[in-house]
Amino acid sequence: MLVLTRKTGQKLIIGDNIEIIILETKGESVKIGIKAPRNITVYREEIFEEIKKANEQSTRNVLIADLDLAFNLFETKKKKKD
Amino acid sequence: MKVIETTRFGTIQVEEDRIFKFIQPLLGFEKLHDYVLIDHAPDSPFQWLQSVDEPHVAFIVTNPVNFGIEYEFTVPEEDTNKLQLSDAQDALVLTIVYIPQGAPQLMTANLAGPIIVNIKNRLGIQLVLSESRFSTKHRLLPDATPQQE
Repeated sequence: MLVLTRKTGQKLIIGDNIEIIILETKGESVKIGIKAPRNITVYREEIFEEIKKANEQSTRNVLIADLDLAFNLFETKKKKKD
Repeated sequence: MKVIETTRFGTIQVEEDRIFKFIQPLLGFEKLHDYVLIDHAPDSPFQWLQSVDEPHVAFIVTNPVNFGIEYEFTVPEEDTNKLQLSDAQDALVLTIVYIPQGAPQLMTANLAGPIIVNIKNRLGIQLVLSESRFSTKHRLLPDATPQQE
């Protein structure tokens, strides 16, 4: 891993078209600006962890009975609308 | 026909050509690539996404549009290439539903991690949407109140 030190306002250039700028540091937080082409997706690492957790939670102890109840609520809502 | 053992539905048989192949599996379930869709009930907005290889792994899925939720996003080109998806009409979009035990009125859908399947070749992925407007726990019935006092 490449580790380097930058000051506020300084930039990093990655490849031909990705630019990272250190905007502000405050205590433990660093505010970063990223300029990249539209086809490059930037993710916060936590989102993967969140989705993984949500997936695991969604299949654990899921009962057909609970889904039947959920379906009833859906139907009730639909009827109210009509 | 393929025989599938499931915890919730017993032994079921499905046509091989109804099996989805996840080339980018669900996060946390990286070893499971094959799934089938099982209908919940007539007129139900829900389906089950059942793993072919792991009997207890099944997810409740729905398209949030069924609940009047506007749900639009762009699938990155990298992913449409993986899915060989050239026409948006061939994309089946589903989100995973979480129903808290005993509190179905609080059910949520994971809008940040939709499942996309190309219905033409049945290749699937779980996409990660980084935009903050998509929550992993979006209430499907925000107005529903608990049934019990």
